[in-house]
Amino acid sequence: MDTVNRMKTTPCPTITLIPAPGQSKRLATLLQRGFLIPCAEPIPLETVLLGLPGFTREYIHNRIETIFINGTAADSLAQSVWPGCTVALSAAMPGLAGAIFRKGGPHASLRTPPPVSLPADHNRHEFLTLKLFNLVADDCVQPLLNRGILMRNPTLARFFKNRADQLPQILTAIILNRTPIPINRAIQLPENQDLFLVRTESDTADT
Amino acid sequence: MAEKIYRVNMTNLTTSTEPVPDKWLGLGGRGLTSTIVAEEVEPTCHPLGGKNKLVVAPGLLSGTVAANSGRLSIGAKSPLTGTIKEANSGGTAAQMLAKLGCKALIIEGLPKGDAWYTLLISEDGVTIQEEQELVGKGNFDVVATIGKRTDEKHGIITIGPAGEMKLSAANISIKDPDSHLRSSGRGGLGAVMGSKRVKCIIIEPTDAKVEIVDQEKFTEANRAFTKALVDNPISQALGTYGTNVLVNIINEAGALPTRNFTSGQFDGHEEISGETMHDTIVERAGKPKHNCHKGCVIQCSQIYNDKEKKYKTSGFEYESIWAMGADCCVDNLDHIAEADHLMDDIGVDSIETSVAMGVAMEGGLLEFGDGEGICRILREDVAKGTPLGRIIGCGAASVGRAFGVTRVPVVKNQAIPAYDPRAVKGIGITYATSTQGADHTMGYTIATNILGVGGSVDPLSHEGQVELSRNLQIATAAIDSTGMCLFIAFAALDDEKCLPALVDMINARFGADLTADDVTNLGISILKTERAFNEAAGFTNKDDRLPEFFYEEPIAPHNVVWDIPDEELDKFWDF
Ligand code: SF4
Repeated sequence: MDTVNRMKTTPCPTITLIPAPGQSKRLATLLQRGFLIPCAEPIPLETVLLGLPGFTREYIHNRIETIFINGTAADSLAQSVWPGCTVALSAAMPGLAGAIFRKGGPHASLRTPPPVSLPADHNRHEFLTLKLFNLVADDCVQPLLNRGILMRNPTLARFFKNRADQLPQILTAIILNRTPIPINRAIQLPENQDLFLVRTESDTADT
Repeated sequence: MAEKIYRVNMTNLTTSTEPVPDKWLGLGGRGLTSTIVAEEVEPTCHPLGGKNKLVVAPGLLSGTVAANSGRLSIGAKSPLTGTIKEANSGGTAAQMLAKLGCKALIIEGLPKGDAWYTLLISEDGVTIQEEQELVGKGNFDVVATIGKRTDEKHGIITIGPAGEMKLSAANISIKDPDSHLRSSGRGGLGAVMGSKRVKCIIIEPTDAKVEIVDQEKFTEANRAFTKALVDNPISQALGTYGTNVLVNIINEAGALPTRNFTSGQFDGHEEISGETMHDTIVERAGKPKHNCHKGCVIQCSQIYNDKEKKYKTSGFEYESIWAMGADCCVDNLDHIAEADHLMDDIGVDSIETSVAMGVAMEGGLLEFGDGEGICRILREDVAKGTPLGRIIGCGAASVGRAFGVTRVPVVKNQAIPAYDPRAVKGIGITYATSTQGADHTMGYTIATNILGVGGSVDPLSHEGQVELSRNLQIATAAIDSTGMCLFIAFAALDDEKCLPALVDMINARFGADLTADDVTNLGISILKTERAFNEAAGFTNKDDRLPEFFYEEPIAPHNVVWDIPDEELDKFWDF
């Protein structure tokens, strides 16, 4: 499940983000709409997560308290995920709804239970989508971006558009392969590219 | 200072101070407001008439140093729902009233003329003063004007123009430690205050302290209680992102009501999420973490600045952001913040008014997504009381009737907040059966097992879901009586020392010997009292229902309808 190794057989352009000192955590919201993880067959969620940088067994069992698989709350990290599915992870959440959706929560019986099932067409897909929210995104953004994540063009473009005001504070450079892209209100990504490997330059001063 | 009941008669403009009757001694907050309303208000009375009473009560632990104990309860018969109502809020007032020995303030009667009044509460009791300068002012101006008239330390409870116009969505605002506002939002209690022509209540600071029978035991229990709150992981999320951390989660669950409850997911969720809000606040030198009253150790509030880094709003809650955001399809946090600021200033409930806007958008008043249009209508119509503004300011059901819209998400006339009941059935049970109309805070996530109200039937059956909702409502009613912020519930769920420490603090404060069972019995008694009032006002089990469209229109993405049978809902009151 190593994203970078898989990229050797799936070539795509690299976007390198150079964060301003102390700012790399502010890229955490990049993870809320989701990035892609190569996935060839149904596999336990825990196995997928353990292949990602920053996700130790202890971390995923203690910090990740809310799991959605295709929008349905899940109670176990052993549950299978599959090509084409969307997984969202969050820390423990407030409110009755937070308690209802919490992994193994005492109020789980108050959920509406739509079935989680493996769609027949899952083998048409090559990736699953992983969304990271709140403290989980904040904890993991640096190791994930240091190694690189796969993102779809519209997701990345939307992030740049919505953060246009903040990007000059957060980043000192954006580099597409080896070419710098001006950081302005209308950051242009090549339209003919659907996927990018997005990474930050390792910034030891910023950890 | 010994506790007293302060009574204000607006008919003959007299005030009195009474000893606390024995039967009210063990009550505070919602327990006390609901008991007084049930005992003293004729259930069938007109909510804006002379027979209704507005009751203000700090919680049992308000005024002490107990963490998160500064919530103020305000109760009356609601002009929005026609039921009994309690709305609670942070701000400085609860702690100040408790230190003055005010167990409850009861405002009754109606003045005969057109004059407006201010009530001043001090160590000497309550005085009524005729008010001219503040009349017609928005809430922020009221706070600033009183700040100049007195000093910044006075507590303030006030209504905006909406309360003066007696709109059914009018709220009551409470000054917070930074001279901004917190709101007792739901149920139109601002209209009740307006009907009594009380523009504001000013509370004088005092050096007096709340009496504590066993200080040592109290300090020890508070230490354990505070530790449980601080250590809880949800406190960390709340202190970082506020309650708006829920946008992404509820959207992911397909339970984020969007475009007037026609979908469970909002494409613009990322733009209004707690995570995005946090970054925006940091970028604009606001405060992502802030408290609504002194002594809160969770600090879920925040200060949101505009693009010029000037204060725009605070206490920017998930439910308000959802309502103006997803429900009206506005994906611009600045427009939502501007609307929130306007609603705070006008003094209308930001859930009711925003849901009303969503219904009005379906009725063709504005395009969905038109955040600037919403702000314009708030400024030019609701604030000024044009006929359109009054229709919107009277809530979602009022707009549905005026615009011929049938998809009106209300229960007992009060707007359903933030969690679609088709996608989270358990919350729907609470919306349907609550004594106060649809309200997400009525059945909170309290540790029912510790309170001895854990479930006894299969939790996955409809019967089990109804039972759990009932138990949560019982526990919530009890917590609402303590003056505690409901967010203590998360720690109570995870840390078995938390609730016992809370009970220990109450015991140490009053020299009592309560057990968890007593707390549960208090909750049961409050619910039954409220239910009895509603029944006497004419409500039946037929009012404990969700609107028709929830049964008929599946909601995307899960394509589910509301399907809890009526007979199961009716079992809610079998206790
Ligand atoms: S957690 Fe939030 S609502 Fe509760 S007391 Fe603190 S600031 Fe107020």
